[in-house]
Amino acid sequence: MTIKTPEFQGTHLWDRLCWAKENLEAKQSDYRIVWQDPDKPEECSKVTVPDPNWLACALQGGILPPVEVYWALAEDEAKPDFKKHTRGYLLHNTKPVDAMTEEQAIEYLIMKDIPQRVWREYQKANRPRLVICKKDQLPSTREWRNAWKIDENVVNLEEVA
Amino acid sequence: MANGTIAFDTLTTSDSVKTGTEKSIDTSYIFNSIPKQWSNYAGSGTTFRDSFNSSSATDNGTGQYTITLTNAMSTDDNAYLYTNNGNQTNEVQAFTTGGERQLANIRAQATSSYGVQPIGDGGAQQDCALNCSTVLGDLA
Repeated sequence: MTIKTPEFQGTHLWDRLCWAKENLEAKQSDYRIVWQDPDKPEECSKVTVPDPNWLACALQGGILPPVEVYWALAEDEAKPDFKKHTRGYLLHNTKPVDAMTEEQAIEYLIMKDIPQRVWREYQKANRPRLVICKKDQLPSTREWRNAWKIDENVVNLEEVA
Repeated sequence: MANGTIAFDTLTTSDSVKTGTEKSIDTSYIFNSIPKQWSNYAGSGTTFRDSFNSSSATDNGTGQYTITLTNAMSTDDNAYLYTNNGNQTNEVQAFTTGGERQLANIRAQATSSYGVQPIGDGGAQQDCALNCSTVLGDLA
């Protein structure tokens, strides 16, 4: 049975998450976001995994704020004189985004949780630095985890021993 | 009523079972002291078992994970707490039943994310099967 999201614009985001925790079924994603920080090319690839409760909110719609809100807060926090957020109301008062597909949710998550320098001007990079793949496309063992790099041919991850 | 609201500033109990003396507490005491985010996850693959107010976990390499919040905190001066069971493969095995000695580091605190580092007996970062972390503080 599907449950209707209450009208949440103006409701504190944390309260919305409490409602979601109580009413929505968590959804484990098969997708993984593999990325490489262009500012730290010596580091291994990182793998970001969506939170199942967060994904449930994204699929439900009407709960999460637009991703631009997170960018605004990140800009504030990046200022040298930042002490505390004074625009937290953006999280709560901005109209929530509609229901997303899982693929759209992954794209949203990339723009929210992965540094912009990774995915901005992605096409101009001279080597792939972000790949969305399925969980079973990752190496099955973590023996060489700190040597994982994105394959230049963007097919799979390769282990560099 | 579904999705209704009960607003109250104070909780009061008669405490008739124990003392019979009425006690009350300001609800802000409760809200201000509860965790604003928590998560339980496996280190290898950073798969969440359960959580609240997290949007993602990032596996940055062996024994290096980042948790990102959905509702950011107001500042980065929060109480970030992290623990693990010190075992790479067995999520059931607890520290007290033979798990390795383990350090649990918190690093790179920000208003919307924080990093954790399980460090094994030999001083190297090490994946752990059971990781639990939480944040206490004020929400943005």
